[in-house]
Amino acid sequence: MATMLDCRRVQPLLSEYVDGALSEETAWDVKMHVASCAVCQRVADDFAGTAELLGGLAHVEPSANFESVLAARLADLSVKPHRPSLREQVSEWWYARGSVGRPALASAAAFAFVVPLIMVTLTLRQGAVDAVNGTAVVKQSNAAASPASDAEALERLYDDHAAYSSSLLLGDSSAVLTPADSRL
Amino acid sequence: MRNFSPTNKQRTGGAATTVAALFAVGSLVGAGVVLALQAAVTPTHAWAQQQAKEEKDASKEDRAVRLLRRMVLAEMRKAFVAREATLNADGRGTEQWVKRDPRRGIRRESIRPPGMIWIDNYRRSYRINTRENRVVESDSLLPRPDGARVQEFLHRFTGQLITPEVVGEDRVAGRSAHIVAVTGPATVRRFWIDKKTGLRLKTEEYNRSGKLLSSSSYSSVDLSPKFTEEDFRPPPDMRVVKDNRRRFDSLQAAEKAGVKVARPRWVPAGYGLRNVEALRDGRSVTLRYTNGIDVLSLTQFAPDKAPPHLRKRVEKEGSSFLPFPRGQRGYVWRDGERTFLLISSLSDDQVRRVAESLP
Amino acid sequence: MNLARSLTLTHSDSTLIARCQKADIAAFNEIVARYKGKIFNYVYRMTGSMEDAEDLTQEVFVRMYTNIGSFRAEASLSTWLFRIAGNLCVDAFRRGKKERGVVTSLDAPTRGDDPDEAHGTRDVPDWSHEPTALLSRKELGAEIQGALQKLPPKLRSAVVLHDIEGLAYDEIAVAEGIPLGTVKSRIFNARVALREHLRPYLES
Repeated sequence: MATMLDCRRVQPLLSEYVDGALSEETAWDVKMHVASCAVCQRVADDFAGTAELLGGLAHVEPSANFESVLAARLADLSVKPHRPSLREQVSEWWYARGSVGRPALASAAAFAFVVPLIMVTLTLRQGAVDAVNGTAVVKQSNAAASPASDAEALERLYDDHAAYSSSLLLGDSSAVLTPADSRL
Repeated sequence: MRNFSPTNKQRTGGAATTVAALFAVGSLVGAGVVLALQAAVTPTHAWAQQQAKEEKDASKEDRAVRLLRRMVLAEMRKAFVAREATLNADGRGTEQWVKRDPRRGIRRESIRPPGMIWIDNYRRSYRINTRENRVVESDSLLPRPDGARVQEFLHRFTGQLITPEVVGEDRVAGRSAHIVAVTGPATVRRFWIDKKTGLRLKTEEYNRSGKLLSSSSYSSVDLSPKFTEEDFRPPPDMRVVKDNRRRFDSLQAAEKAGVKVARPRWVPAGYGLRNVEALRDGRSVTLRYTNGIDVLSLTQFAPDKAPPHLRKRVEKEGSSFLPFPRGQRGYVWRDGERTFLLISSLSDDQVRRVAESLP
Repeated sequence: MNLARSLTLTHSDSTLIARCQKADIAAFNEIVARYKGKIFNYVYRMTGSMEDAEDLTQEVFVRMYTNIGSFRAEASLSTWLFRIAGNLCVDAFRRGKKERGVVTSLDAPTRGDDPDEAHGTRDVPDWSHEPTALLSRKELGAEIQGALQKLPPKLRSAVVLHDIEGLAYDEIAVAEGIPLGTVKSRIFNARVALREHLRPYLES
C-alpha cells in the first residue's frame, strides 16, 4: 500500500474500515485520510450509519408453536438422520449458493484458491482484533506505563508532537484538542 | 494605546496623523513615517525611494515583532475566558472554551465534539478524555512568563528566521485587531491581535502552497472571568495514565543521564533542538526541534521496539511517508537495527536530507 | 438457577451434533432452541415475510435433521445453518413466489408481518433527538426492511449476515461458499445502495 491515500483509493476500503477489518497500516492510512477529508468522512459515517440502522432493527422470533409444527413435519418425513456417502459429504460441503446439487468448487484449482484466502482473512482479522483489544487493554489497566496497542503508540507520538507545537509561544494551541484519535 | 515615543512625536510633529491615515495601517512607528514623509516631500531620486521603501519594510517588520511580543505577554498576563471556533482544512468545525489564568495556568475544553480537555497548570500537563474517563499526565509544557523561553523570545526574537509582517486590520468577536502574518519555511501563520488588550483573537495556519490547514477564532471574550482551582486540575476519579518519559532541555543533559541518541547532522535552517524525551523503558527517544512556529519530532526506537505497525510498513515499503492530522507527515525509515520516525511538515527533500544526515 | 438448565446451556455445539448424529432427539431440540431465533431473523430479513420465514426456518431444521450425518465436526454449526437457510431463500426466490419486492407500504402493513409492531413503541427515547424521531420505530423498521428488499438477494444476504446476525467476514465467506474478496465487495455494494435508500435517516 502506498502512503498518502486519495479518495479514489480510500472509498473502496471504507466499508471494511468501519467494520475494523483492515490491517493496521491500511487502517491508519484510511483513518488519517478520513480525518482530513469531509467527503470520505461522510461516506464512512453513512456506512457506519447503515450498519447501525440494520443492527438496531427489532429481533423477530418465530411463532410459539414453532417446535410442535416442526415435530409434526419431521414425523411426516419419518426419516432418521442418516450418514451420507463420502460423495454426498463432499458435495454438501462444497455445495455453493444458487447451484443446487452441483458442487461448484469441486476443482483442485478452486480449492487451492479458496483455502489460502480464508487463511489470509484469519490473519488479517487477527490484526484487527489485536488493535481493538489493545485499546481495551488500556481501558482496563491503570497507570499503563507504555501504550498497549500499536495504533495508540502512534497516536501518542503524534499527540506529543501536537502538544509541543501547541505550547510554542507562536503556536496554535487548538491543535492540542484535535489529537490523532479524536475522530474515532 | 499609542506607540509613538516622545522623540518620534517631536520629529514628525503634526504630520503624523495625516501620514498614518495615508498608510492606513493604524499606529505607525516613527522611523518609517519620517522617511515616508521625506520621500513624499522630495520624490526626486530612485535610490531615495528605494531606500525609503526598505526602511519602511524594516519598520513594518519591527512593528510586527512588537505586536507579536505584546501578544505573547498579553496571553501570559491576562485572565480571560473565550469561546473559540476552529475550522479545519476539511471543512469540519470544532468549538472549545479557552480559560486562561496568569497564576493558575490554561484550560482548553472541547464543546463540540465534547470529550477532550487539556489543562496545564505550570506544574503538570493533563490530556483528559472524559468519555474514557482517562487522563494522560505529563510535565508542564506551558511557558512561564519569567522562564527562559519567554525571555529569549522577548529579547532576541527579531524575526530573522521567520518573517513577521503586519498585513492588515480586521474585526473579530466585535473587537478591532491587527493582522500579523508569520512566514516560516513550512507554514504561514496569521494572528489577529486585539488592539486594546494585545490578546490573540484568531489564528490561521496555511501550508506554503497556500492551503488553509486550520482557522481558530474567538467568538466571545470575557476579560473579567471567575476561576476556581478546580478549573486547572483534572477531575477526580479519573484513571491516570502516568507519564513514562523523562524530559531534558539539551542533548548534553540527556547524555549525562545515560540516554543514548543519534543526532542528525542537518536540520533545515532556523530549527533548534529544544527538548529530548526518553521513554523510561528505553523503547524510544524523541528529539524535538523548532523554529518558533513549526515542530520537527525525530523519534528513534531501540532495536525491535518500534510499534509493529511501523516495522511492518518499513519491511513492506522501505522508507516511506505516513499521514498524520493537520498536514503533518510521518517519515519512517530503518538504519540497521534502528527504526526512525520523523513527524514534521517539511518537504520530501528536507525530510530525506534529515534522514540521511543521521550518523 | 436451575442446575439442569445451566448444565444443558453449557453443552457445546459439537457435543450436541455428536449426540444428534446418534439420533438423540433431545440434542436436536436443543439445537433448534439455540438457533431458531437467529435463523428465523435472518430468513425474515431476507424474505420480508413472517409467514415465509416461519416456513423456511422449519425447512432449515428439517434439512439439518436429514443431513446431520454429513456435518463435519470442525465446521461451525451456525455457519452451516446459515448456509442451508441462504440456499433455501435463493431457491424460494427462484421459484418466484416468495420474492416480495417492495412490500413496505406504510398504509397497510401486513398483520403480524411487522416485528416492530409487537414492541409497540411509538416513543422510543433513543431516537428522540434524531431526525428519525419523525418516524416511529415501527415505521423506521419498515423503511429499513424496504431498503433491504430493494437489494439483490446476494448483497442482502451478505449485509444481513454481517450487520444483523453479527457474522465476521470469513464466517460469511464460509456460509455463502464465496471468496473473502467477494464478501467484502458485496457488503460494500450493499452499503452503497443502502446509503442511497436510507439517506433521510442517515443525517447527523
